[in-house]
Amino acid sequence: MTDPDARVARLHGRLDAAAHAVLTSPPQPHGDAARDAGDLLAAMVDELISTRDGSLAWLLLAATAGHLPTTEQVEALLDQLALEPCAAELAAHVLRHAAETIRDRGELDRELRVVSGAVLADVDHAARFNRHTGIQRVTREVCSRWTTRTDLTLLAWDEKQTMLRGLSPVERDRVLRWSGPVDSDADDAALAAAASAVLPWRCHVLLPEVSQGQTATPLAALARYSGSAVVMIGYDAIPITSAEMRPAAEPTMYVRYLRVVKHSRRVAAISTSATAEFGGFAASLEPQGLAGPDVVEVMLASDRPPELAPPARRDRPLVLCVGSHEPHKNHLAVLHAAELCWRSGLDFDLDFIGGAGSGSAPLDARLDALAAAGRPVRTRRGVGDAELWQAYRDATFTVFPSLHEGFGLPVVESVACGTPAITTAYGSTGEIAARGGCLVVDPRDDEALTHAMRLLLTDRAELNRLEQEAALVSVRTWDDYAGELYEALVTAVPVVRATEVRA
Amino acid sequence: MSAAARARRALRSVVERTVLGARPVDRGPVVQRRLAELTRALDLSGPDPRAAVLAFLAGGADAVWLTTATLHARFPHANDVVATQRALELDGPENVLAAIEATVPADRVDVDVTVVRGAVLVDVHQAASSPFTTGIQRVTLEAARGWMREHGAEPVVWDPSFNCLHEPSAAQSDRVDPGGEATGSRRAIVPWDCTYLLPEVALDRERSARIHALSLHARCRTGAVVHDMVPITLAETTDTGVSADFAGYLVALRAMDRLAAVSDATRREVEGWLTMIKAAGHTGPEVGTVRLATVAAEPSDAALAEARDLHAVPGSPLVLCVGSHEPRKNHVAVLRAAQILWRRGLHFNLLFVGGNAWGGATFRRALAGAVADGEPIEVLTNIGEEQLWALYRLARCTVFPSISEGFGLPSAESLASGTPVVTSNFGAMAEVAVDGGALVVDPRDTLAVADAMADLLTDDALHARLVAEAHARPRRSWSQYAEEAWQQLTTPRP
Repeated sequence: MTDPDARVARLHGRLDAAAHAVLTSPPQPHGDAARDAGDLLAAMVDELISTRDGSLAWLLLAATAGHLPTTEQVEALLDQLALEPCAAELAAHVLRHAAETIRDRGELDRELRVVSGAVLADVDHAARFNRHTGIQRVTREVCSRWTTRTDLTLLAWDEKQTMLRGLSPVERDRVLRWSGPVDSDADDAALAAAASAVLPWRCHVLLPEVSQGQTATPLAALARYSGSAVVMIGYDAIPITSAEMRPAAEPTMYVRYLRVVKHSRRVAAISTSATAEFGGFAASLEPQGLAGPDVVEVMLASDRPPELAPPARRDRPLVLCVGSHEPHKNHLAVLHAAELCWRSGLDFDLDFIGGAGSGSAPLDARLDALAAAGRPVRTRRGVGDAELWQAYRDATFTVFPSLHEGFGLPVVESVACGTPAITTAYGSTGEIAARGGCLVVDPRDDEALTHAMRLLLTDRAELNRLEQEAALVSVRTWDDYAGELYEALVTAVPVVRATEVRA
Repeated sequence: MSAAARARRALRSVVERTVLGARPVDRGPVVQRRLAELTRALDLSGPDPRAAVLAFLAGGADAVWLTTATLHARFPHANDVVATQRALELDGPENVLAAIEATVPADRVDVDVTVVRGAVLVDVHQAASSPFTTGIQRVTLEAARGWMREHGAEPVVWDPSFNCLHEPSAAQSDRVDPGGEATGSRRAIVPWDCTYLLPEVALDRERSARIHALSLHARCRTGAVVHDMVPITLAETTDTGVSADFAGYLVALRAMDRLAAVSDATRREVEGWLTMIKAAGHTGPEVGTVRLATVAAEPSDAALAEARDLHAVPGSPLVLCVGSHEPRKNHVAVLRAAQILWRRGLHFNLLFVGGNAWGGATFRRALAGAVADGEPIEVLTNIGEEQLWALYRLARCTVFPSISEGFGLPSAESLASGTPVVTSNFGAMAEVAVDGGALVVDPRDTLAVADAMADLLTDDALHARLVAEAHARPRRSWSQYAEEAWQQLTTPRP
């Protein structure tokens, strides 16, 4: 484990990979790992002194230590550089950093590859876990399409969360060929453990996921200093803009992610709401002397419904409400409006489909009270995809008066099934509703919501009109989305900023 | 009141609360008293106060807020108001009022509640409760004093559990208005049709949640001073958890009418946030810039002499850096810049004035290294106001290459003392510099910081020009600040 020769050999391997990516003429090897490692380090330190290039500082720290550096560590090296040190002083600083990092975090026991000029994607969650909701779904749909048009390198984080690595075959399949949960066996785990570590050099690094854990720290440094263009998909900023509706600790996690956003080059926001949120954040960075990312909207796609059976014949209307049971989904308003409708003599069923979320206790209590009073309200949990599609098809209309959404998938899916939706007038749901098949309301106005539900329960002509509109709305495909996203985040983003091009 | 008397009173109130809390509570009398107070304040006539309140309660969400706040001596949260309003629609006012009456919190039974209409209330809870002097506390107290003097504003605070606004205690009153009259009655204040102003930052979750509902439902004109947005825009430089509390404070600000940002930089940050909240269908408050005052105090000759004795080295000019050692202040760059200049052979002493702060470990390490190398550095952590003014006067220049400031008081104070500053070429720092006396540089470029310091140390003509510019800067008093902030915060929307 601490065999000095092996450690030197590994250090030599890492420096060799970095030097061949960075230096036009790396020093000739002598066949002695220690001496060659010293030559490589010296050559890169000389290059750093002559260029004062922050990205070289980042790469040098990452390669010598075998762990990605933090912003503070890169800045400490740049501070040393400002003191106009001799090459030996600077090399000593770099080696001291490596020794301290390895002492604290252990040694990297993977081969290191430095990838230049490619497109990389951090797909950590989609690769390692079998969840297939929201963000993982987007990640898989995008990557499986990008891989056909470019040499896409997929990355996950190593077990210490301080280095990016390639994927095992099962992990690759989870991202590129998802067809349901797959378990990794021992062989595959061994392949994941042996996968090369990867450092990007002058690459596009796509972040399709939301990193708010430990990895946000090295990612923020990568975005700022690595010289690669970090580009991302922006989903929402609900923890900052609607903190009262989310768990108390959520902003603490979310602001770590914002540190990555801050130094990214471009954010493709999934809707008009997300564009406002990321655009507003980017605009607020100018007073700290930062340009912030460009924010553009590339509206999200959704799945096309499968072949569905015709709606089951019903003796009374069915109102469907899809979404996790969280306060910002505003389900208490739906229950209130429904109760007012029931009291006025309207007869209809109300189904909720969606998992429990945080802060759902008041909703649960209200659901129980209404059910106990004999109201025809049901909560369906653990509903699979096929069943959900059929539920949309069977419903008379759906209700989704969310207070805050990045997108609003249930509205798109409802309309795609030909079923009208009542939804929120502002933000992304308003944007979706403008395509047709929807009634929009102010979700904070109980009376407006009640009126809209009553209208669709009593006015057959209005319901038919919306059904006909819905039938004409075309579903935005994942092919369209992935293609536009590639244009926006790769084609339109030069890796080296115009202002950084050296004469 | 003597300290001993205050302690006795505090002890008595604790005993009363715990003992009362343990007994079954008879809510009848307190409910009667508070219903009567509500009818008095609302001018509801008629023989039966309860019937009058029932009719009022049927009016909707705002009436729900006022009735609950008054009867409970506790302001409801926004989602409680919505839930009660729905119950009102389904079950009728009689059932809802009965429920409100039955849930008067036991620990709020012996609170004396007054509904206040048409008053100007300034929420100075933190500033009145803490003996420390922070920049925000100073702004809060200066603004509150100006508004009390010119516009009849009344200071209000919260009880320790943030249930409700209260009149300040005698000690709190004394901090806001030294020597002023104070009843110290500590009665609970429920505002209705008032002006509510928040010149400080409300980080406590309970407090911000209740201010949020107050802003939505108490029919008050509302306004707040925004000092900075650092916990969101530069969260990596604040302690864990501050951002979450700050996000709660932003929820309260979201529902307000007007905001006064302390600089254009802060206003631009607020405008970015106002764009963000559109995603949730909020328009948000109207924001404008009201720059802080810049007043230098004149140190006494004795203070100047003492500072010279303690900190000046003959023949070696003094470079001053004021502020806590948090990463945002960029003190490592100051240290490195000084080291570059010492290596170049320049002679000067570097004096840091400021306490330790979150994330200061990197600075402490760098400092320890420099001190061990025998470099002429001194660090003062806790000095008085007058000493600080003396040091500003004594210094050849100050260095303030901060990454982000709401306003940047140290730079403004140095310039008001006639001492040139090296500061950042963007944000609030650049705004302060515009009026003259400063050199601006990219604070992320340590060599640029060093070069500007060298210019001020070696170029006497430049130094003299900047000193003259600093003396010629427009002065701006705290009463001017308070008056402009008043205009910004209380002007009705067009």
